[in-house]
Amino acid sequence: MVENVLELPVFKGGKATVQIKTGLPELGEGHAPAGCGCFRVMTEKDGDKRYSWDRHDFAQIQEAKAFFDKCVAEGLVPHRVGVDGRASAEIMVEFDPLAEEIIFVPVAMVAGG
Amino acid sequence: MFFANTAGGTGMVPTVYFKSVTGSNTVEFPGTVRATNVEYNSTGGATVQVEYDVWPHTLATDDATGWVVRRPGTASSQWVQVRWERATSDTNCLTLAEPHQWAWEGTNATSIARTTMKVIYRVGEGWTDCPGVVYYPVKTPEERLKEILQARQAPMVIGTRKSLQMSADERERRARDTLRRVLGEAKFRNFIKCGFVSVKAKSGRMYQIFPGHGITCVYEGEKLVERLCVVLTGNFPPTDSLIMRYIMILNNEQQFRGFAVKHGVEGFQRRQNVAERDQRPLSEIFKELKGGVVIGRPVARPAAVAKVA
Repeated sequence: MVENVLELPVFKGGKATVQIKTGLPELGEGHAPAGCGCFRVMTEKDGDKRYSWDRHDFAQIQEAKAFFDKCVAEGLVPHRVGVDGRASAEIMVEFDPLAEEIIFVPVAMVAGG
Repeated sequence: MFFANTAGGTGMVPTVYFKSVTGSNTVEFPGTVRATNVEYNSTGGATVQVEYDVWPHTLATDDATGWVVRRPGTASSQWVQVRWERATSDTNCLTLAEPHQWAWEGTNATSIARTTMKVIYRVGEGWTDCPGVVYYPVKTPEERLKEILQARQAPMVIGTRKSLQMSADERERRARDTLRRVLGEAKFRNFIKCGFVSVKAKSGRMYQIFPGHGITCVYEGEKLVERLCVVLTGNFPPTDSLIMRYIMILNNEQQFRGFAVKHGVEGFQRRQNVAERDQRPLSEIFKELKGGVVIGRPVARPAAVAKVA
């Protein structure tokens, strides 16, 4: 299994980063294949990093849950994108393997301008 | 002398149009090409007549009709390149068999702007850099008057905001892809067209969100009540900031307002969206366009009117 690394800033304005390692496959330009869920993590470097998991593969679901928990622990706030691409009004507190897409927003980087 | 003109066309690549005229509308550079007459149209067909005097080679005048002008430039490129090459086996054109390429930058679609131009001309093995200045054609008074008449028949409103252009930044493209997923197709198209996203929060307020560091406008009913500034610190692509605001307003409006720096609406005036027009009589405008010369025979005042005056 290929190991991908996601780098996130530790705090606002700082150069230090924390690395989250995951075995989930990273998506390039395309969308997640049918039957797969997708994480989108907003990053300065890439716009968003996309990782997918197979909803029928228990090992990948476990990997996705671990990744979800690590991201939440680092301060990213997960939002589920609902059916037909609609953002739901609900922040996810637990990983749902049936979710279509989950967007992680770096709330720690939000500030008044 | 080389004559050139550019005009905006459909799609991202401007239509390129070379035309040989006398007087204005010229590009001059030091003695590399004596005369070029290229007519290019968007379907790819073109006729070319070239008169060369390229140091150290001196070439005769060639009637290169049958050559094809091509545009190798990509849609997102800031550069537009025109390349013409032989499409026929006309033996008169043998000396011009190698590809000749022109490139320039800083083209300006406005009709009267003067744009500094950089021309790269390729002959044989080398490239020649020929700086020049584009002089756009001066419109005749008749053409100008025609434009004024057309403008007066058009609606007074200019239209909506400036639409978003394609971005060369890979991060921004990915962010827009994510936004398309979040908003849905119809709303996303509206965003591309108008440059902002509107979202109604649970409180009933309407938020108008702009990408990047644009200030979010808050409306109650039709009235602008607040202007809030919330940004993503760091070098995030502009659309990521918009996604963050959109999601945050939908999910937790209070948190969004907690982050925001509030700007007052007093003294803030939205830019007027109405075109300013010259309301003078057309005869007066035409007289000015003609340089103060009175056109036609002046109408004599009736004697009765002159007497009263």
